[in-house]
Amino acid sequence: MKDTEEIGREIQRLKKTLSEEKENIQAIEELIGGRIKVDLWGLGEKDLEKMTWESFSFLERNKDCLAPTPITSHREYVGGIIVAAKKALRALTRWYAELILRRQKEFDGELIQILLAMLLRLEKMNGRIGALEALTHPASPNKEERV
Amino acid sequence: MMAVKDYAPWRRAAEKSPRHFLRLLRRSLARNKAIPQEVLNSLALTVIQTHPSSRVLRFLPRLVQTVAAERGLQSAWNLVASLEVALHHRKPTIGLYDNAAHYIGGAQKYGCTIASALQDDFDITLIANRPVARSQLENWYGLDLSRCRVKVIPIPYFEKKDRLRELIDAGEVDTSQENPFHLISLESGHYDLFINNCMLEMVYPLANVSIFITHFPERGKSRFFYVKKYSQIVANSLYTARWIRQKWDLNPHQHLYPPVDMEAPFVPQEKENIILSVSRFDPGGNKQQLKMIEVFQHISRDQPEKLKGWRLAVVGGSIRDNPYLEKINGHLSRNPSSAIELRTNLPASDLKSLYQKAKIFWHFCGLGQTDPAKVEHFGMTVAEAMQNGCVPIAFRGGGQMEIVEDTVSGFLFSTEKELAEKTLDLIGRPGFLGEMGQQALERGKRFRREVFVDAVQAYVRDLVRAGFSVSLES
Repeated sequence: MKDTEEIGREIQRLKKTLSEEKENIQAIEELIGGRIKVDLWGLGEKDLEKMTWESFSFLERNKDCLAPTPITSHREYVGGIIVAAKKALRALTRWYAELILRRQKEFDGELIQILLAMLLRLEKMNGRIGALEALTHPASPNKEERV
Repeated sequence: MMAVKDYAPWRRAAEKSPRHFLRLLRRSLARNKAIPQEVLNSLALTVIQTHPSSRVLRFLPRLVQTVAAERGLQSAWNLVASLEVALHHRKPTIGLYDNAAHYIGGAQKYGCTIASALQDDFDITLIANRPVARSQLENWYGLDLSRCRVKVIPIPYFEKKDRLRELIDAGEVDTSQENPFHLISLESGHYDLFINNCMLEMVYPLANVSIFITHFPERGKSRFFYVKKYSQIVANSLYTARWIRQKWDLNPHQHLYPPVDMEAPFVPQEKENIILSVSRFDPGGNKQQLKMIEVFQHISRDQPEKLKGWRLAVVGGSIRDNPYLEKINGHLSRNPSSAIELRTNLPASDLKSLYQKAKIFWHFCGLGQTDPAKVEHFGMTVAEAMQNGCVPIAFRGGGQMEIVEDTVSGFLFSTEKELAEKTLDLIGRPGFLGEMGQQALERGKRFRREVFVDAVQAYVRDLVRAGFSVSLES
């Protein structure tokens, strides 16, 4: 026989807990557990620039693929044992993982450097184009209108 | 919404054992495999309905914990909220947002009519950004909103002195800064169903089911463009739907014509020789009342015999100190005509009476325009005129082409010459004019409030059935 009342009470309890936790969060991305994906097609120049730098800073923050990640388990009783086992396994395989990932880390770092150089060059070129336009067509539309 | 066949293994797992289902879920989430929220909600409900209470009670906290950890707190909250609705523990809730709710307008009437239509089946909160009382909304639109409540959430960005205008203009938002409408996005996460009635693309919907109502896609895409995140996009006309596709590259799911309730309590018999125009006196002159007056005066000069005994009534709402209205008054003082009547901000009863008396209705909005936003997106007053047996002669463009069936229930025109010919033809054939009036009256019924209410109720019930596995009729 199903105790619907007890299930109802449990649902209410869970909702109350979640609501309390939700109240403390003011960022949408934290609530949805990830970044908001933006469709870049159709964006104006100003928005694209902002998006580019946001994505770049995300890459910059997460470039280290060797950075340690926490080891957890959702199991109620055997969680501790599982965490200990995972830690042991990770320690055993670290030398091999690092062998591969160190090259990856160098590669990623280099890519981010190139990307940054390209972005900075693009900014400089945009500045020069703007200056040239101002010289040749003083009343030309602003950047956003051009797009 | 949910393609059942794609999730058959999931459903089997949910039916077999909660543990098996959780394992499958964790594996998928770990691999970043997306599971639509409504599918997740439905599968959790299957577990609850299939297994004994003791297992369900052990399963639920684990499920919620897993979902919160992998998909965020909002997803977990939505899951639990959907279970409450599906198990009939409470009515579903709706948050209906309109940043111009404090302002009288057609789009706002659209939203309030939705609220009024759904208030028996849902707990409805009308979300506004500026103070407005429920009684005001009821008076403005003649609606019963007694089971709805109003919540005012000011947006600090628009409360600053230099931006403190009567209407909140999202076009002023600097997209290189923080999104000021995230306050409303957060609020949307407190409801089962969130309706964005002001086509504000910068509000990110967090509710289980979300509807984006578009009266016209005003702005292009920006960094804060979230229309794609809504479960449903509704357009108020096929014209708007076409521009949503063109401007945003999105396909609306539904189109619902606005509710029009100007029907006469009786079929008007004795009409007068009045050509009527009803439109807001837009300060930019978008509705082209001046052009209309000029055309009428031109026809009167060219064909005085044919227009003898006819008058033009130009009626509409206006703000104080309206430069366009001043322009019209200036023209009329230079070119006076006793056959032209200009009236602003008429009481509803006088307006109704004019609709009942007039034989012909002129509508110029869109004539000579190249900007699609300045063409009538629907054309509410055209439908109002038709509901009173007034034969419309409207510009061939925008939503008017969907209201008026050319030569059947009215006429469409592209040039002033065409308008003059069609008007004179109608005036010269009183029998035909009467017949067309009847046709217009019949056509006008298509846009009645009752039709809108039935369509909204059926549409939202279907959405709830799909999103929450629950039938409101039961």
